[in-house]
Amino acid sequence: MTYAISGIQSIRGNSQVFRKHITDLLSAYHEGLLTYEESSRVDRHLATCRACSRAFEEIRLGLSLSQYLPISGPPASMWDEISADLESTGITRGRTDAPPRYANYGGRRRIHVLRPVLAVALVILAALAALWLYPGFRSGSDAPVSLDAYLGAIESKPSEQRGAAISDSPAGFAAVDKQQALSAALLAHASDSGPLPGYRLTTQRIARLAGTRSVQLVYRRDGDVFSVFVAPEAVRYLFGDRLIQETALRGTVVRRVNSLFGSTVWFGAGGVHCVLVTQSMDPGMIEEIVDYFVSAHHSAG
Amino acid sequence: MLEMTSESQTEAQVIEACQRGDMEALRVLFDRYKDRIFSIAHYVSQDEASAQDITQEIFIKLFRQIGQYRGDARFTTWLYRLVVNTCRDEARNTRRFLPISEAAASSLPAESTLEEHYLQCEISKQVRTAVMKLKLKFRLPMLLRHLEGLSYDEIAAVLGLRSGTVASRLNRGRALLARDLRHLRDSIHPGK
Repeated sequence: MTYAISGIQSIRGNSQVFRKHITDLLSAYHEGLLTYEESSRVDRHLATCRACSRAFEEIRLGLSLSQYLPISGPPASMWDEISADLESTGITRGRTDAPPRYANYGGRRRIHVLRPVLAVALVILAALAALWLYPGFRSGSDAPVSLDAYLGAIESKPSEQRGAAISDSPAGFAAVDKQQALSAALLAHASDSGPLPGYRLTTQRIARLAGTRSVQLVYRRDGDVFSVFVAPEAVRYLFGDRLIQETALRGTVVRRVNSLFGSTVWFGAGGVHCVLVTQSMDPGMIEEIVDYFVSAHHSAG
Repeated sequence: MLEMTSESQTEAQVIEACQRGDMEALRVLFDRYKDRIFSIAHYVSQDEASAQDITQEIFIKLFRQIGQYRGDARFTTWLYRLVVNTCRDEARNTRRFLPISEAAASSLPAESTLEEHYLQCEISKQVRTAVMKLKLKFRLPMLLRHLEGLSYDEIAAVLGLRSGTVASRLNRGRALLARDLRHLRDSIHPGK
């Protein structure tokens, strides 16, 4: 899947704004479901309308709270009761009390017919796995970078400890010197000032996972901290089963990754992918960071 | 031979097997949806025993009626329409869906307790209680959006509403939730 960083100037040049209150659009706006033009017009309206801005803050809080809705399950015995009921009515065949042995249903009787085919497939898979594990085969390849456990570790901390957790290293990353990290992140030419005034690059790491090229840059100002991961487009970021929504961040298309703290924003430019992880929910601050990396990587590209 | 090339294709094959009355396929469908359906029933009924009854009824109905599913709508739309209709029927028949009692609301942990411990489960508990207090017309779109991940159009199809109405009810539900739980603002928006 690809996504584009485009249209910032043209949309910012759009002077149209909504003249009436826009509360009905605010949920869709926050979830990134509006078109570029609609989103830009909502931006402009929010900048001038105090009532809608207040409503937007409420909706944003309500949406964040909604992510805490817990899911629970029925007792394990329920299936027995349901299957007994269905069997008593004679609408089913082939009762099974145990969970299916394979999640993708294929029909138990077919296993006997497919056994030789499965055996051949397993041999082929084993051969491919052996090839994949052979170092020479993997040179130049890019393994995915999973940030799910890293985000989970941040979420598990009390709020006052989350800054430290954001600066922690994901599994497989190790410290390197600044120049090496900036070169690997295609930022060697970028300005020393960094993405935000007053923030300093304090820690930099490179993934040591075989075949992976990803850099973690940790920026700090006093107690505030954010991490940015930078990797070539060939590297895939994995986030477990977290919800990922494409959205417009004041004209820039980004992907928001569902996390129970601040913001996790996935964006790209100039042949790299970046992931910003911060406790901040401030769109202005996030926009500045995204703009910095987008500009730097467009220049590098 | 069955080729599993996509999640939807797999689901189509499971549904087809269910329509033939295959018990193992019914079990797959049960395992796939039981937690989400039970959660919706729990949020709507506000009572665990009632949620179990409703969930069981939904699955029995689902398995008896799955032969009527023709694939002209998404399966999830068809399924959640059944869920919502069953929940609404229960509400009419048993009057179990009254607003949550003052006693239950007052049993929430004190704000200071939450700030001291900041446990996610405490936040979740308060969110659950607050959502249960919402009117059903605001609660259902929120559950379908946040628990099931349905799109606005899918929610509209399930509830028989226009997408604009869904958006409006989501706005209203979220705003009411925010007002009820604004004391959690700093807990979930650190630094704001």
